[in-house]
Amino acid sequence: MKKKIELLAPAGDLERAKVAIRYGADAVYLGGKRFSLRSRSSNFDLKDIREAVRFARQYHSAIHVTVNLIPHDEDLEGLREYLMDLQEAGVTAIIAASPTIITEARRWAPGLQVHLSTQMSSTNLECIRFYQQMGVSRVVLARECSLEQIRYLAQNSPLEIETFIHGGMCVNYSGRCTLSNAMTWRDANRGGCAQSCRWKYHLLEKDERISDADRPFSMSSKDLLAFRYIPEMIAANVASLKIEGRMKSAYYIATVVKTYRMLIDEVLQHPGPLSAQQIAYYEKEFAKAENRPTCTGFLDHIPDHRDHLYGVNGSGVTHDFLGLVLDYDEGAQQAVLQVRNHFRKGERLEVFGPTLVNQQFLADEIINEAGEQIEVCNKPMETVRIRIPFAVSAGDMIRRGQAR
Amino acid sequence: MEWITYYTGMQDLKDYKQHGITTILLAPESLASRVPQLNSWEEIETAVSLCRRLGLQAGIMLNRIYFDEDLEKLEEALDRIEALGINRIDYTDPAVYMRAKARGWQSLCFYNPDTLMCNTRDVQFYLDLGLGGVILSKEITLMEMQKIIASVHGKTELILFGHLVMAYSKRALLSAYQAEIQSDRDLSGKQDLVLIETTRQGRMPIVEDAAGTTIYTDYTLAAYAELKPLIASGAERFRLDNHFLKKEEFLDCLDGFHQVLAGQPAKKVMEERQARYPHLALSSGYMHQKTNLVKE
Ligand code: SF4
Repeated sequence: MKKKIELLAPAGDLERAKVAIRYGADAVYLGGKRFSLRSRSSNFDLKDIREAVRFARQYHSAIHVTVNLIPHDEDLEGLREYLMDLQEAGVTAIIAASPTIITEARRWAPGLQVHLSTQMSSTNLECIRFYQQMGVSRVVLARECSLEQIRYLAQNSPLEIETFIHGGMCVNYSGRCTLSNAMTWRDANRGGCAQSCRWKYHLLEKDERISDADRPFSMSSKDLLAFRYIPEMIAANVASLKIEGRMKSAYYIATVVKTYRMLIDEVLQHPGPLSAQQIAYYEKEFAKAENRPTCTGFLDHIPDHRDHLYGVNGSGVTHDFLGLVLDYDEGAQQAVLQVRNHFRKGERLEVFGPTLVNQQFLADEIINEAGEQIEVCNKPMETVRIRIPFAVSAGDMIRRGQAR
Repeated sequence: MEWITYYTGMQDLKDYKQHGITTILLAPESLASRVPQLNSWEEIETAVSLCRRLGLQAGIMLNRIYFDEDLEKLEEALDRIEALGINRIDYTDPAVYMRAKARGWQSLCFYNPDTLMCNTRDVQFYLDLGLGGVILSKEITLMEMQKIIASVHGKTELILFGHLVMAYSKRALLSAYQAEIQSDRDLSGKQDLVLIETTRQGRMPIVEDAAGTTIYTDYTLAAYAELKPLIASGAERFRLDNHFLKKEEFLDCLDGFHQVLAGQPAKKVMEERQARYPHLALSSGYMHQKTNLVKE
């Protein structure tokens, strides 16, 4: 059954695409080996894209492919064939910025929808009309839009509106930032961004240093966490809610996608603002994925000092991803588990999965491949059997039961 | 040949004209950004009439990214532009093109999206909309510029001089930082602030205004050596950014381009100015530097 609003998740490789789809994404966006930002970092070849489409179809989900680099002449060779290959593979949409890529797609691969990348910083109806004339069917809004502006655009736009709800944020207008080009020769618009905005800088007025020696200037944005505005976005007719993070782990994707899936389904059933209790619950769930500290971006105010990071930039995580369920024997109440992180016998663990919501158990029996009872799991990718007193399924994930 | 720079005050116009500038770009308050000076419409009106008397062309910068609530002001600006008889509008946001097109003014529009005009076909796409011109990205190399200029039908413009815009944000990054360190200095609008990355030496100008924050390169592009090859490829329009420069420095650097045209070796012109103005860190920018490295 077609969902009213699309939950759009990122994937850096086939494994993560499948995780996103199983955990409830209506569509997954991924990068091909060519013409995509983040090229060469776990990107998909055509065989993988075909497999992603095949898998997505089983779940009535869709695959979008980013073709979003700002090309130089040398980058354009083979574009037409590539777009035709994507169409033939059954991809639903490409996400693009260059007019050449957009018009070539419309001409040679008309079966592909074209979604305009956020790099084009679309913030008003007039520019949306301009891109409509170019053949675009959906616009990914600039992250600089407020909730009010998103609402206005979604209600009045002739094209579908997609908006970011979660993940890392460029501090500058996307597509217009060359900090990385200038400081590392790596072009952000061709997938090379070195995140120079997150570095530390002295600030001087003429020759006087006015920055704090212990707390230098930085432009590092906290990550976006917009879940509390989902009811308004659904009511406003936003077509797609986008999660950022093609470089993120399968565990992150599973946690975030699952949590939004639950939230969206709940709001679709019971429209209206979230209660304080719901906000507290979902906040806790999102915190189980590794994240920088979060903010609400531009949705309710222009980000200020509370929304930036001046000290440590690293990700925080409250619940480690400990293992992936490979199989479950109902008779023996034993799961076969691929270990991902260190845990001990006697710890309280939590299982979650596409159809399973946070069930906890005590790890009271762990058996290694040699059939020996063990006290500790400390070898990543080792396969163990663990007693779980309720049914779990292959693909479910196990994390620590309590925040660290 | 056209030589284009930004308005910096009535007192400078005559000197600009005498040193070969042909076009002055003016920037209306609340509609423009990333310029040395924002002006009221009254100032713009006076400046435009002086430009006319001096034989200078005048253009208007409408180069912000607009939200729907800004579009009314944009429409008013177009009315004023019509009343002033201006025949050049520089824009970034397609909203400007759409509103100008509704008046049949496509040919007045010059598209300058900073980083986006990097290949022949994208440039031709915009020129085919009937635009007056397209400003090429300054992040591409000399060879790439030459290829584009020689291949497209329509007017292109090149940025040959100045601190280059590196990034802009809608956020008030300086004010946010001041709040973070609990300083009550008001840094908004200041033109003499620089960032220095903590492991480097380069001084990158940073300016916060009502539109947000803009950061510029730690060097000043001075494409003396590239001028003649560009002209040989068909280039005719050159923009020289005077932001952050003293007038005398700018005029001297501007003279350098005319000296190159008059036959002086570009290398000598560059070296003389590098010696005179070491603080400007004159450089050829990306002219010979590809930025196609990616993360492995
Ligand atoms: S340096 Fe920062 S703001 Fe610029 S493109 Fe990279 S992540 Fe975005």
